[in-house]
Amino acid sequence: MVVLTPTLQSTGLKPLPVMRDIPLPAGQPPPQAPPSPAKLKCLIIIPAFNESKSVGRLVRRVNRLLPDYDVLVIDDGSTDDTVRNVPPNTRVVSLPFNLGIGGAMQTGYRYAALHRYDVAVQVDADGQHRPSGVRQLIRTLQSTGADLVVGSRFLATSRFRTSMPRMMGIRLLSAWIRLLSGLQITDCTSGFRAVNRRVIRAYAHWYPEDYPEPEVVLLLHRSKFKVVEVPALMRRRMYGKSSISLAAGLFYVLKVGVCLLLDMVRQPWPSSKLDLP
Amino acid sequence: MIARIILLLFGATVLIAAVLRLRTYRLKERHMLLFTITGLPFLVLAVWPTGVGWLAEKLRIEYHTVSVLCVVAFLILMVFELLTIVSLQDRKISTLAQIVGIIMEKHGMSDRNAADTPPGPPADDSKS
Repeated sequence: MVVLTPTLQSTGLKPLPVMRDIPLPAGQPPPQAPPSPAKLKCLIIIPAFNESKSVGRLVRRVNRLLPDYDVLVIDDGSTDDTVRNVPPNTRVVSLPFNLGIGGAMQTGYRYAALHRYDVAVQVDADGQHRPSGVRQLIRTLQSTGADLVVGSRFLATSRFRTSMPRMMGIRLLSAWIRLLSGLQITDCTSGFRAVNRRVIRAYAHWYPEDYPEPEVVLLLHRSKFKVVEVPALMRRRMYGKSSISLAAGLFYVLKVGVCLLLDMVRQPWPSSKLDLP
Repeated sequence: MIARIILLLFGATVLIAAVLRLRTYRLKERHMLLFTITGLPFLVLAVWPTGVGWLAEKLRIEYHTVSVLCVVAFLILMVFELLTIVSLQDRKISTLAQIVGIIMEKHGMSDRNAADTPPGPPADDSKS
């Protein structure tokens, strides 16, 4: 596990007080231990766009491994049989048209905020993320007091190797984020991540639409949320192949790079307006 | 003199068209401002036809270059304003779609439960 604490000299920020560092007033009982992951009200959000071949298998696997958690599939205006392949008794939000990954994920966070979930976990519908890693994300969320826990494919030892262009792109973006904010992260594009209630509320209020994964990492860090990264095993897609070619990948890095630069002047979650705890 | 009349007529036409659309509720007040601003430069030029020449002399740039720059600057401002409106509308439509999806889930009205789902608009592959 890697705690992403930026260099304070580089950011100019003062260190935030941690709960355990604050002395308790006399006579006050010590705080109770955080509830176990099983007791938390947890929602697993699976955004799906034309994933009819993999979504059913993934949901069945999640239900088998994590029977105490709720699953929500967001069908992002699929034109195939994605919705019909979701097992019965699974919550499905069907968007009337395609909103993109940002819009689909924000729908899940709105749902989580509305139903007062403690934790929301994003798992991609292509089957690359292992549901067995979800508990570790949630445990880390609790034990470190983090607001966002990202599962990193680069911190885990796995036989599955990301393609070289993709890896270079992710490394470039991670270096860019470090340069802009001082935040050290290895896998800023990972969609395997867990957030607590505070971030669920923030995301329900606003969530980037175009390149959400790297953008929220930077924006959360700038808004003084705590970001932590843990190793996460990933595997090949169950079906189909990634639509990102080399040229498209380069263009993607360029576009995200510019967006990250623009994010330096934005403050999407002002705590005063959102009344965040 | 003819140029002055043409400019005046054009400015007045744009203004009248905007007022008519406002009256029939096809144009919002805030967007009406855009059309008012559109007509304003033509009004200035009608009253002061040598204005572009004066600006060229002050900036020490060719008369034609100043004319082109003025038109380009004006068009950029227009596009900027329109893109802002489009972005705001896009956000609102996304929010509505999300809420519709959540309400449909709550009432068991997702596509899975529909016997025969009507075809929706074509998916925008550029987004996913």
